[in-house]
Amino acid sequence: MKNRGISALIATLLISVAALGSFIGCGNTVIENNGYDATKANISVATYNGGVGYQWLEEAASRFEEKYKDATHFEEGKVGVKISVDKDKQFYTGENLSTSALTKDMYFTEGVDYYTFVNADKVADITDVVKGSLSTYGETGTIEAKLDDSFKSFLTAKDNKYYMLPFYDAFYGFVYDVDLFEEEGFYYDKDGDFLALRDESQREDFEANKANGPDGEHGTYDDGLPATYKQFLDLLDQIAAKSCIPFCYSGSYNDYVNKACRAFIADYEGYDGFKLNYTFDGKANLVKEIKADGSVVTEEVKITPENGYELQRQAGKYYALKMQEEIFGTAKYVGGSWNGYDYTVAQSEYIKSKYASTRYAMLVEGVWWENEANPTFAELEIIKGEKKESRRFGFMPMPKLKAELAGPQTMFSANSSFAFINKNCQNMELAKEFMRFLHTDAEMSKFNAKTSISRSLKYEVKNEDKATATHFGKTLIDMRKQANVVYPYSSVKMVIDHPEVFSQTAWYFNSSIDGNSFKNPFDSFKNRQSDAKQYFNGLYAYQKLMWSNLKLGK
Amino acid sequence: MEATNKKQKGDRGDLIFYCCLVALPLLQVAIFYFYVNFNSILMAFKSYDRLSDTFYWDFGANFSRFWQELTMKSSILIDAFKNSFIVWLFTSVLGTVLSIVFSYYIFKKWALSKTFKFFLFLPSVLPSILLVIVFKFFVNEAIPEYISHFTGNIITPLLLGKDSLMPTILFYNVWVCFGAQLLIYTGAMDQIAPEILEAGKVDGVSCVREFVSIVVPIILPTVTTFVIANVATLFTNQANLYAFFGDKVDYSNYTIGYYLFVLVNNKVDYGKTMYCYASTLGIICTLIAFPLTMLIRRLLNGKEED
Repeated sequence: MKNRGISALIATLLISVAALGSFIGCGNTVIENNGYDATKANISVATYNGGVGYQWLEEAASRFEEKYKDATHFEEGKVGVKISVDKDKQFYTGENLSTSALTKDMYFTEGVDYYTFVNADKVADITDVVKGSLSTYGETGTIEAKLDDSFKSFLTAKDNKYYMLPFYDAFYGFVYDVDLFEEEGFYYDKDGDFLALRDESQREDFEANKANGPDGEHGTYDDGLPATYKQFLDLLDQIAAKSCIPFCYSGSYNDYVNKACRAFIADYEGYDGFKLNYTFDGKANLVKEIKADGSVVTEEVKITPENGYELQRQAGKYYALKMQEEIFGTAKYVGGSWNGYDYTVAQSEYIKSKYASTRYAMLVEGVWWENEANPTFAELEIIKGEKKESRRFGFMPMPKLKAELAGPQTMFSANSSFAFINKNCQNMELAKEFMRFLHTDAEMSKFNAKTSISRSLKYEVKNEDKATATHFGKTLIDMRKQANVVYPYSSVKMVIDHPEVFSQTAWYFNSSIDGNSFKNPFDSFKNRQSDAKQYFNGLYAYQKLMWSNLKLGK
Repeated sequence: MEATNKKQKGDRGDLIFYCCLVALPLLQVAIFYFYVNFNSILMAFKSYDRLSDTFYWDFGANFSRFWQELTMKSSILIDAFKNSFIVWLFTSVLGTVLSIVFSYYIFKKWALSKTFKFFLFLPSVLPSILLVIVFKFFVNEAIPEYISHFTGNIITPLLLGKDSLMPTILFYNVWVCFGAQLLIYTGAMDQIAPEILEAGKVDGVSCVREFVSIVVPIILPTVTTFVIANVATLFTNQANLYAFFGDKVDYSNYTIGYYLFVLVNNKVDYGKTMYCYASTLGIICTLIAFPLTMLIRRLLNGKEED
């Protein structure tokens, strides 16, 4: 009997422990021992340690700590503040955080579905931060004034409150090796011939002789780069003729190629035309006919939510697919055979090719690639004594269909990254102040220079910060300053409710060709399953079929 | 009187002990089986509103969407149903036949049988993601390299080629499905009375005859159990596609299991928006798989009785 009683007690204890374990994730945030300072007001900030890295956050935290070293108002009896930065690539993704308890006070991460977090009541209302004055930091405006209209309407569509702020711009495109371009003469001169830098002493003449580039202006970041589709294709032939390989890419993540070529659409359509894909309200120039020579006849059509699928006939979408087919339809410009590289392998092959028998001229990547490639740069520093800062790379602006269309870039930022505060933050006042601080022009400028990546808000990068950026970062800063950026966010309810139709990949890549559905133009062209015209027609066919499932009026 | 009190106390103690023991499992069954499944069934008749985070009644919407998707010219569903059936044929039918043959080989203790047993069982004890990474490297890097080295031909990595992808995936799935079956079948074969096999030997039966006429009929009830269990997985098997490619699989290579998984798992793009449609698809697949499983069970059990 006594034994039974003991057994019952043990069983009860076990069950209680198991039950407690289930709820252990709930509750307030946990301050880790590492970095915690009992004499100061503390918060913990976590960031996804991917292409943006974490060093920018540590540096910003130090500046914030310095600014508020004598502050006593954040916590009674405490002087100064302590920001503990934690980084991880596996745990701090938006996807993971959406299904687990938040254990840090603030997050900067990517892969975030905004409404999943908001509806789960996990994130703090930061409307006061976004709409409040930044006068403490010497600014006259608010963070809200720095937001693009599409963000403003999307973020507040639920209840007119802000719960997150956009993090960084995610541009895909082509990275080019500036040193190689200069050595081998892959720049265009004013007569349309190729131009090389023979000697450093001739640099002045070299720069003066460069063509205007896609923006049509001399003395800007894109001088000498191909201005038209034809020039771009001629350049690829020239690179191949010089025994270099035009492109390095990741075969395992070949959707990067699709996303890079999607940039052709945005630039061709321009801000208003491309923005229609998120507003469904306005007039669009749509392809009526594709002629045998590849040119198109267009017609003007009024776009509404009822006929939104018509936007799949945008000429920019045809030209983007045509360019993708020309460039990546065969292995001609990727070295003669298809690879199975992971994206980090592709980065490594690209950087190291400087010391290989055959050099790659361009890399298909996102703007965060430099940080991801840090291990390769470090390896080269040991082996070859060459520092990362001494390599010069640039971000290729998209060429235009015709020289007459020269002008600033329209860029598409494939955002999914946000900054937010945990609703159960242990020191909300401090967290909000840090959020304010990080969204001052001065801090965003420093972020931009440190990471080469721009924040998805309006601000200017200061010259002294720009001077500290890598060459790649500098070209991006110049390009971003001149460009119009379209973000993939909308307050149209149809778009919010149907991500299966309007996601960044489904809307631009889903196609129906001869009874088969496709979602990857790269594979489709590589496997000879379609050509650009068929894929383009398939975009329309697919979305027209999908449209009847949408709840347009709701 | 004292004895009665003791008995009552004892009964109460037993009752408390029993309650403590079954409380958590019962709670788990109530929530994770009854509530979740019941809610899943209801979801098939609802739609999701993202802004208000509510599921509202929308009776025909998901079923009409299913019908539309099924009947449209370029149907992901048709490809997915076809691929699910092919994967099932290879893993359940071909995989079972090969498992029985390999089990017999091991049972007979022929040359290198222990080595075969080790290598065929290995996939069952290693983490699947580790196997996928090794296999992926082998077929994408090593094989093209060998072919290029020995023949001079450059081939597309097997998991990246249009024509080689599905056969490679099928090969992998058949290979990894051996483990558990091998263990059970060799166990069943070990239970065969030695006298029966010796009698066969005395009668001069060949190995093939022994296998077909003695071993297989004796282990048939075990095989039947596996086959019936496998029919039920027809629409849940995602053929390890997610482990190989994440959500980047081309539509033409989808299986129903994979389709259901990505509909629900894609939190970045979809959130909860596809839960209702996935639920509808799940119900329809159950309506197909359930009678099919019962039919196969009846057929196989009938055969067994014969």
